[in-house]
Amino acid sequence: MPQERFKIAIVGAGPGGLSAAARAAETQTSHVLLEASKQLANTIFRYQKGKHVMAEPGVLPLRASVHFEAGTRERILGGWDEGVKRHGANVRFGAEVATIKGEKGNFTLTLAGGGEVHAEAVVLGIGLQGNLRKLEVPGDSLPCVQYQLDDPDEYRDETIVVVGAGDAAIENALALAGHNSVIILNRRDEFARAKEGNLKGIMRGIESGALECIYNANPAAVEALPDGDPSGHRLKFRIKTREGDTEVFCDRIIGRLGALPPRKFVESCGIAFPSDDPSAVPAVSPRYESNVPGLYIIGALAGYPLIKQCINQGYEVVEFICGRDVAPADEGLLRAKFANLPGLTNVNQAIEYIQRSIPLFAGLTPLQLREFLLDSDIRTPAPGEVVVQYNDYTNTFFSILRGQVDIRLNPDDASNTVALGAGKFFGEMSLISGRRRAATITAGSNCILIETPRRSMNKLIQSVESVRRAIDEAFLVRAIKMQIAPEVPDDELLEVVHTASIKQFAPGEALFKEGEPGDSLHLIRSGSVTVAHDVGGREIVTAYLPSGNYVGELALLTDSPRTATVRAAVATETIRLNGTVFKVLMSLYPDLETKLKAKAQKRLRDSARTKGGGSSSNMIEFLVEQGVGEATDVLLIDEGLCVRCDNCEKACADTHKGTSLLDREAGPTFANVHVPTSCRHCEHPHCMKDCPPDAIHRAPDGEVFIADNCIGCGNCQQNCPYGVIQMAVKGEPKKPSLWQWLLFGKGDAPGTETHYEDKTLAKKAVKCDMCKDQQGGPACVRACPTGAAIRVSPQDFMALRR
Amino acid sequence: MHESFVSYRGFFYLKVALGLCTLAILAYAIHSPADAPNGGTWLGYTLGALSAGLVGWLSWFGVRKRSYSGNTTNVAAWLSGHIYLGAALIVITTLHSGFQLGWNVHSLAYVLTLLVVASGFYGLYTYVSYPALMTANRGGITREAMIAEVAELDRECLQLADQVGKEAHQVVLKSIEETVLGGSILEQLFGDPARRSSSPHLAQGLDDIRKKLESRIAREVPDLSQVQNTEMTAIGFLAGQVMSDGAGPERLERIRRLFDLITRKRALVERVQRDIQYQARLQFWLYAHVPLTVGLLVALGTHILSVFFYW
Repeated sequence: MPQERFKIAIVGAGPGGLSAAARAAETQTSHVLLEASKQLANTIFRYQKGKHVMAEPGVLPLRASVHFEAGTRERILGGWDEGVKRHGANVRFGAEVATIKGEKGNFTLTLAGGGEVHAEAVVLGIGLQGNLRKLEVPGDSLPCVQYQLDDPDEYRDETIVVVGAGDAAIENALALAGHNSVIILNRRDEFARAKEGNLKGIMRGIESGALECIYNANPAAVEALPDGDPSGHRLKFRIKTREGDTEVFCDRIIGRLGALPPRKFVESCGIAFPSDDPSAVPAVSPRYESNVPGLYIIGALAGYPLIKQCINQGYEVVEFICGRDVAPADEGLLRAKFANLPGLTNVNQAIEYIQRSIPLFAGLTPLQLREFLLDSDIRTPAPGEVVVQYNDYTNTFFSILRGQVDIRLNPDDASNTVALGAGKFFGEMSLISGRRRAATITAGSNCILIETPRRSMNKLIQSVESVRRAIDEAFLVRAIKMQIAPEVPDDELLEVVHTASIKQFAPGEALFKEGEPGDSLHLIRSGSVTVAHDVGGREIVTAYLPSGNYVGELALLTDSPRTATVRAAVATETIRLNGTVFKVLMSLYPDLETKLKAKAQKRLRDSARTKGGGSSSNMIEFLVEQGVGEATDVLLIDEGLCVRCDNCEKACADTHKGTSLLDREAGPTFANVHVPTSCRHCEHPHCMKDCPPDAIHRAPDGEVFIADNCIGCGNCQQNCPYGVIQMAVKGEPKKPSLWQWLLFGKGDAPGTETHYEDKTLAKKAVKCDMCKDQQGGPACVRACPTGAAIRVSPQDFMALRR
Repeated sequence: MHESFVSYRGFFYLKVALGLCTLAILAYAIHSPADAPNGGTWLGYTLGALSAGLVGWLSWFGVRKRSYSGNTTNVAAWLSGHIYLGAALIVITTLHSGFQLGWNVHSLAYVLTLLVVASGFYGLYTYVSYPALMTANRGGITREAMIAEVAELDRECLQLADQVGKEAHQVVLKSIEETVLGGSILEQLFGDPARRSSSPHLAQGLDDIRKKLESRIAREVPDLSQVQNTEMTAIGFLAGQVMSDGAGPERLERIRRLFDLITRKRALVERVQRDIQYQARLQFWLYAHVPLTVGLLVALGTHILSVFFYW
């Protein structure tokens, strides 16, 4: 068995790994770069040809031994290849690392194909993309068993088995079926996960006999057949089905089973994860060292998904391992940020000071805090300056470093305030509920605040348990105070708060059902619910309640069983208050009871009205089904008024650089109310979930928009469940002239969509921004000649009942 | 929640228009010029200027509708005003004329005004009545989806007809070839969607089979009550009877399914034709309204010019 010893073993030749190898080679440090695939930067290599790759974040300087700037896939890959060759980096392709054992100074890396590598330090740069799920049966790594399909035209006249039932599997199967005999293996009895179009395609394909499907089937084993086997095929695929075992002779097996986070492998190296959250990443020190000394993690696996960050870290990690102390590339940026902090000149000193001053940050690693501060702004508002405006849709999070802020209890009364002092935080309400700001907050004297964007805060909440806990607790007290019991002092609420718990509900799941004993009150903290009554054995929806409301008060007030079934309309979180404790509180504060009773009576009246008319309850159900339950603003068209002139689409194209962001005709209709394919500006926008450059934001008035630093990766398009995001060339087309068109018939009519002939132009994600930069509001609504198009927010939905 | 252009702001523009008309009529009644009322009196000039101003403003709607940025008002509000103030022109221009009509450019402008307003009224009628009909006819599917389904049904029919026999294949193929969605402008506007939902060929074929079946059923199945079902199952059943001399049950089943598919396709094509017709009617009146407006603007310009020229 060959044995080799290096100072640094780098695992994974992504941007981080190759940058580390190039730097090690440049400094003549003994190293090896181990890459499982056959090329550098495999993930980027698999991008479509000519794809434009961005170099975000623009402000971060590049520090690397290889070249990198925004450009086409080919140019970037070429630059890296050249850099790695020029420095003479020691790269080994096809070397998949199976295990990493040992300790600092003496690590042993076992390769999947046999052989061992010894190294003093290990750099893990494996990212999150390289871990495709395998068949996990004997023979799943044979040469003709593959887990990706780059070019379907590469294969002809073969018998190919595609394993999987998702979109990738269906698309591959359909593309291959043209020139091959294709069998698709579905573990279940239907294609439940597939998109509508793919589902239709595959069903038609199966019906017409273009391809074959084996349902309820699981792979058992793959065997290679000898050359010249009488079957004429290369592989024998044993399959377990409900009817018994069977065998399929084929030439190729393509598994499309998705990717798994490499957590198992990482944990097997001794690295700990901070939480069970699937998106959690291991914590690393400022020098990228994990909890295993000598084992370093860089790039996406350490929580840094952007190419430039990876390249910088590859360079820096080699410097650290070699004992050279380099200030991180972001040092200058942080120094500029801390310029506002009097008396603190050193960046590390400032970070320590912040960590000491704000208890919320006590549990963060210095690197996490550094990253967090890099995303944040240090603000020194003047006394009396409004920091947060009541009813705005902003969702940043504030920590108070010095001084205090004043929270207005009544939005219109500037004198009635309570103070919040240094070390405390605010803004968690809008962050969690996705709704408007609940209060106006102004700065006190000598106030220094740290303002953090939503995404960075959510990332922190997901990866640091102590932060999550602290924010949840603060939210509980403040939400109960604000929405139910403002008159009750904090210490009287303690009992209620301590017995309260946060509950999560999947869409459609019941918070409680009619007839159950009423033992609690639910305060909706995010999402929304529908209230339904049993009428003749059928659940009739009588009300819709967005977050910020409470449900379940009636049973508590009357000591009777639940009178309605309440279900989550979308993924919903509630604060469940213990009924017994709450009743004690009500007995102490009769005003509280009176208020709850008044609300309960109003609701009873409303629901009695709705129960009579079936159509209004159906309307609520319809709207909730269309995702309106998580919308903050949705375009609704009254088809009884719509003359199908498409002036709304033309107005949209005219005001958005020749691209209409709305499809009027698509989308469902119920009782003349049509929900077109257009952005709903969700409370918790799905599109924001996975945006590498953090380009999707919410404007103060609630508009969710994509900023110009979009890198065109398409994640948001895939994440949007309503299909309202498109990828389009963001050019500056010349606007058609109305007069030239009108008088001389020259050029396009206003509102004509721009089409680009050049297919290589970079595309970016575009979506409705509710015309936030236009005077007078959304152009689609303004341009509607009949008043058919309107935009409404959740509180208006109930008015649609008729 | 939605506010229609018809009742915009509680019929604000209707009230404005009625007010204008009332004022004009009152003034006309009170006013007694030396010779008969005409466009040359002070009231005549006032009403004329008002009419010309209104015509200009009403024509501007075409520009406003297409100016998508830089406005804070809604086109719906403009349309509401466009309709009611446009209607008021009938009264105001008539009073302006002082009922003096002749074969000249002045009267041409007046007649064109009335024609434009009349075509506008027809447009209003289509705007008020067709949208709801269109929605009901669509039944929640887009036209593209309907057309795609027609194509899909065609494909299935052909496949099935192939299995039934050469003759059936030819009849079905012919019918597919002869199915025209939309068609000429006249057909779109005035054609009968039900009649245009299948080719004459197929209709003839279906009719022949039906007749054959009917005569045979009269002979062989005197008690019709046992086949009382939907029309199609009846035809299918009867077709089975007809073909039973020699055809196996499989073939009969295919014929029954073919009939079923053809009926579904016919219904769907009828819906598409109807959809196209509604949309055509929503749009084509503009091909009268707009050119008439252009004509009116020219005639009005000439009318004003000549009045001042011969003053």
